[in-house]
Amino acid sequence: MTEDIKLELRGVRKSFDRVVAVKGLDLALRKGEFLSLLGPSGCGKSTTLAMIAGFLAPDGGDILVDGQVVNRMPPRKRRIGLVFQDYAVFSRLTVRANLAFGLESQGMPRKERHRAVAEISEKLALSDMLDARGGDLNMSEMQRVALARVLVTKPELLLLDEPMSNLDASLRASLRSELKQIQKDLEQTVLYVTHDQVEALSMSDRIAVMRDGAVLQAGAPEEIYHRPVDLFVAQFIGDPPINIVPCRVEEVQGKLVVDTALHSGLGLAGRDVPVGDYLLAVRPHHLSAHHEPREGTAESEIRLVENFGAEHVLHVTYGNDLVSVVTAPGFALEGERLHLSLDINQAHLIDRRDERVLTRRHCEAAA
Amino acid sequence: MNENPLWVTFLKRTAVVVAMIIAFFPIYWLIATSFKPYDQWASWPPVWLTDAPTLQNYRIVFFPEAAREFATAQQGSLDYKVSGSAWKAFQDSAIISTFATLFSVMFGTLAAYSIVRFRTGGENYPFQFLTVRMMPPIAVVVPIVALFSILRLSDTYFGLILAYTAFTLPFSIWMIRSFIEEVPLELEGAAMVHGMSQFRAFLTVTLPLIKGGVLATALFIFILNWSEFLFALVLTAGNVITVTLQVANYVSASSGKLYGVQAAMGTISTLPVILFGYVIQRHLVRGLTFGAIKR
Repeated sequence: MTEDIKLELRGVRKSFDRVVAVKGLDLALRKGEFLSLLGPSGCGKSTTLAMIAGFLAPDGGDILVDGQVVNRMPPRKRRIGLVFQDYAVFSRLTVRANLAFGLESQGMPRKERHRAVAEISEKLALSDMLDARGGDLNMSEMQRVALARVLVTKPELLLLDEPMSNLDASLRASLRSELKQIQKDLEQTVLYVTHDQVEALSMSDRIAVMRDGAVLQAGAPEEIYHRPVDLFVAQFIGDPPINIVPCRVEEVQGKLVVDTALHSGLGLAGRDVPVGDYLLAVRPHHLSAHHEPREGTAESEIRLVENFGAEHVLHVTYGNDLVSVVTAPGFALEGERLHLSLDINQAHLIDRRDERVLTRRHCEAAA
Repeated sequence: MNENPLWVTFLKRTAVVVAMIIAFFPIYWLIATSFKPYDQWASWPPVWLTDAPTLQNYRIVFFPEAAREFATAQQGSLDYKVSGSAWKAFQDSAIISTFATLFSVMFGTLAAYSIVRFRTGGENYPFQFLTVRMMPPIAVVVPIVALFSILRLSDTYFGLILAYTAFTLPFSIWMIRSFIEEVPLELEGAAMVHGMSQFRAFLTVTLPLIKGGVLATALFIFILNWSEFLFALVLTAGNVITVTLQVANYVSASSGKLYGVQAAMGTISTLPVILFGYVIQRHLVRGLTFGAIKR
């Protein structure tokens, strides 16, 4: 089991002056796995990456590569590849020299170097620009050069620091699939740092959501999306964002039911929680809108319609709040009234005090 | 829209012209005087452009013996007792200024790098360095003379080189620090994950990028060293002589007031600085446009 762990972080801590950047971070990365470190800016993900790369030494805890503690090993000895947010392509050097840079410092003989550079430039469609200078490239070319420069050294662990944040949206979409394909072909172990949930969800085998220097939840994209552990994860993942509305859990005739501003008597099957005030988190896809009243619907008014082409997002009143609902295009217009139903089985009950999601398992343990 | 009224433009241009006259007048006067015969050096009304240009002053700079025959020709009206050719002063100044500049920039670059990248000495360290320059040199010159005589550094090349290096180091650190701060950390990082030590990454990646800045700093420091007078005066005793001392020697109790010779020497002494600036000007422009990372 342990032999397929490529990278492991055990209780890693780092602070700058009095600011704690990373506090007690635990993380494991299996060989060949694509793991995303996802979090808002300032959550400590870049610091974590800098420690894994060896630019910073942790204040506490251990970083293990192949089971060896590497806390103070210099970057050049770690056999890692790193692509920076700004790519750090050497602007004075040609693309060819950029690609050969790592191999040259490793002391690879000239012939082999040429072959390796030719091979990787073929793979990343760089063959035509080998003689261009780094400084003359555009952003997407630089990105490919930076990636190729790293891949050519066959790193055991590839670290990517927000490599797409400088690219425009259409390019990002195509690069996501390209990068994932390359990673699968090479069975490359990748740690991908990003604040973009779309990148994390679309490419990762697993996602670790970070906040305030700690991992809140690590798991497969589906797990993160469908079973967030707390309010932050629920809100951070998902587009359009998850709806959060206040609710109250009551006991009616021996059964627990949830009342919200609009809906009442929603059955809490399987979840056993104390009576009281909670938050209810519902994804926009789990609210449905109807033109006519039905069983379990409540009336509401459309305040705003956002057109996303393939689907429309309606912002509708929900008590004192606005919630978003995803519908087919042309379903309804601003100012119209409609009838909402809520799928309680897909909704998450959140404790108001510690903002944890009360899962079934959680509730069972409590009961 | 951006057009100023005519009179504003006129005032601005006038101000520029006045500033230029103020800046260039001493240079003009220096060069003009260097070609004047002795009776026009300090005549009244002043001679703006001599009608009898001569190279006599320049001859005296390099061949002090020429002063004697000149004095005879002028019925001994001037008492020329110039000893020593200016060659020695140029040579000494060149050695001292060059090495002091080299050391200052070299140590300054390394110190600046460690201050920027490793935060050596903490937040206030660069400022503490600068406080060295806040004392007027005249205030510290006496203890330095005492120290140098104990260490037997007085009147040696090494002594002056040491003093100049110490006093220009704060400038080097401050100037080069700002250039290093411009170089993205990622570039060194990329070199380091590709198998380089940090020092090698500094040499191969960072240094070429800040080359222009380092050369500009070197020029600035060289000018300071080349024109330094006070330390040269008190830390030498005839064995070592700098250009500034030689210039001063032309006006003294023993040599009289050789303004023309002084002007000739002054004119010549600006040449090395101009030459240095000319040689590195290509780098001055290029060095300031990094563009290593497009943002």
